[in-house]
Amino acid sequence: MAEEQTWREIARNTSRKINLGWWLQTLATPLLITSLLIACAILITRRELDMIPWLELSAGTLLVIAITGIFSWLAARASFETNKQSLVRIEAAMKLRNALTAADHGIAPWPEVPGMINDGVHWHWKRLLPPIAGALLIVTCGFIIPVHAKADNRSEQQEPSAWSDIDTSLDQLDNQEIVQQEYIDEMRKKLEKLREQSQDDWFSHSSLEATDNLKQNHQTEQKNLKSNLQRAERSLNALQNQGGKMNAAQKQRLLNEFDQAVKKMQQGGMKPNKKLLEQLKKIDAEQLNQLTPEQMEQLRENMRKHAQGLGQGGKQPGDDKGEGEGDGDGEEEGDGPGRGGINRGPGHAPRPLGKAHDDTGAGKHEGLKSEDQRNALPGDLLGTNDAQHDVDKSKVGPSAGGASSGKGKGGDRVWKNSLLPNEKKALKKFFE
Amino acid sequence: MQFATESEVAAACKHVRSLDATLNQVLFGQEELIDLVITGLLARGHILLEGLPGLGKTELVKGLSKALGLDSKRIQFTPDLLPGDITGNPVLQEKDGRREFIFQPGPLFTNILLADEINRASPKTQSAMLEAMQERCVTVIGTTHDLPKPFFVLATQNPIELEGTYPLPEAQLDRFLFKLEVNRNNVATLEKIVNNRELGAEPEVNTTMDAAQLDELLALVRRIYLPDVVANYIARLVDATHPGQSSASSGIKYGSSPRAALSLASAAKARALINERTHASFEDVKYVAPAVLRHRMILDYNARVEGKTTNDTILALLAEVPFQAKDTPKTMVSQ
Repeated sequence: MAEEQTWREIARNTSRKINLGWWLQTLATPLLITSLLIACAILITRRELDMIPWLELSAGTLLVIAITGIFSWLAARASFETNKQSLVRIEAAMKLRNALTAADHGIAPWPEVPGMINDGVHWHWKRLLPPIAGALLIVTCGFIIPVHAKADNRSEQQEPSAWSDIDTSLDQLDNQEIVQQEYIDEMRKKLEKLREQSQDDWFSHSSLEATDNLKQNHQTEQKNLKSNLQRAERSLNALQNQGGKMNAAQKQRLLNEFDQAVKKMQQGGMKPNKKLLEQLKKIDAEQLNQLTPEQMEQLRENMRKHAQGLGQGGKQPGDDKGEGEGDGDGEEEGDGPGRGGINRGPGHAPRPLGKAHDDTGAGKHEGLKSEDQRNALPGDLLGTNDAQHDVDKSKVGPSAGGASSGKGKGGDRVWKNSLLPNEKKALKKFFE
Repeated sequence: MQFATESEVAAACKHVRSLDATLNQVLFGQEELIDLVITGLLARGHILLEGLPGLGKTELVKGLSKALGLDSKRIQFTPDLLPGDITGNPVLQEKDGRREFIFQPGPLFTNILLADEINRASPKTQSAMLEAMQERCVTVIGTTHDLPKPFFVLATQNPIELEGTYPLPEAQLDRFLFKLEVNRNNVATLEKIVNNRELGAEPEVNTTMDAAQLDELLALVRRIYLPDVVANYIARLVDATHPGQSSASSGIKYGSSPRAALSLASAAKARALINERTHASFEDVKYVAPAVLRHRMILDYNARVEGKTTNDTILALLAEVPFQAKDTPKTMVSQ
């Protein structure tokens, strides 16, 4: 009984070992495929989420691997070995002459259990380990391959510099309260619309075009408002300082200028702030003379400040050279790029080869001769040579059919017409 | 069926060992041959002995018949031998004033028949042996005559003298349980023969068992347990002899018949009895496989030109076909 139990236990262990081998064999391919999918899933998760749920990821990985293992086990069951089959394997390996099978059928007694048991199989590590190690490696790669989350990418990607320029300009205008808030809000709305695009489209052709257009509009509006303010201020200045000396026509012209400037300011996209605009609106060109010098001075000062504020707003990097140039006091001169160093003045660079020769050779005639034969023209005489034609002087005369005309020397090619076609063919083939 | 018990097998084994010892006294240095002859005998099979003249084939048969206390006859096959010469003929005899044909049995009517140089007989005569070997009876002029029991044919053939011979047809070869090759003796054996034998003098042989005891032995062999796994191994082995069924069968034109499987099973059982076991084993099948299969396979032309023999093919088959039917997973290595 003891032998029977021992042998059956040994058979059970062997069948477990063999079945484990079958399971691992069946598992190998699905495990690799699953681990690849898991690695991809981990990478995608890490890319999509800011906060990586490591615990959930690890648990999910283990769960998927466990499910794969269960399905592989179910698939491998068809190949599983029973305890009886393991008995056969053991008796075959240990050369027991089917004693275990016979004992199992009750034909013969159970043999004694030897000290060393040989079940006839051992692990094939070279075949067993690579899929498991590969799967582990793939899953580990999923965890450790550096991947930046999408959110990080978004924050890292810089927006077009023109947007921040416009932003800065609008902030400045907003802080100084130079222009009406509606304009600033409208501009910010447009800017936000551009920002709402996909990051990939920020630098697309259409986006950059729209940005450029927005920036130019903004600059033009700034320029117009500044120009109108300056014109109105100049008109007022002239009226205030030289109003007494002017005749009626001149005064009227200045008043008209002032009036037009105010109208343009009212009609423009960028309007001065409401306070200034109200002041200007209240001033009737005909009542302008009724303003006290103090009031006039204050109004002028107000307009000058606004114009200066707009001028500062124009001092943005990348602005075109000469922006506002000539319209004002020349303050903007030289703000743009491209002027170069301070030593680069007008004039020509000194000649590096010295002074130009006085004698230009006018009136002299020289024959042109082609020394380069590659450039010779048709009809040019390239040269003469005294030589004879290379004529073959060997005697050649009529000879009888089939006879060789020349004996030939060693290595010469001798052709005999009397050769048979096959011989000719062979000879020809030989020399080819 | 009641399987053989250990005590029965042990008792039978004593007779077998005695027979083995007796035959080893008759034929020196041919232990394996004698072992296989006894195996064939216990498996109720006919045996074809192939070997050069003078190696003791006839002596072995004579010794066997004497040791078993059985009747034996010898037929020297020649091309002019007629079927009637071996089966027997009806002879006209006068009895009670009437003339009638009385069947006169031929040399086939014996227990152990030595068919010497069987391949010298014409196909007609060879075919007369077919019924006797398979059915253990002879039909002459419509009358069937049973052969005595037991009936064994031990045929010999000379492998080198092919002139004037008629190769045995495949059907007849298939009737032989074993084809045994009688090899030449080594120097020590030859010396023993020279010291213990006189030319022309026959060795003394003791009878080890009678016909009844032999019958009991033969019946006991049938009761030896053949495990399913061994039967499965035999089936897979025979199947593997057919072209395309195994890599070892690459040079085989025709594989073995189901009779080969039956012969293997029977011989494995006999082998188990000789080894004092109540059950046959893989090793028994492996031991008798060359003797059972070597004359039951036909090699193709290429294999024969390459010098391949059926023995080589059988060894390759035995190495290729595993004992257990279940495959081993690729993650493991079989030893």
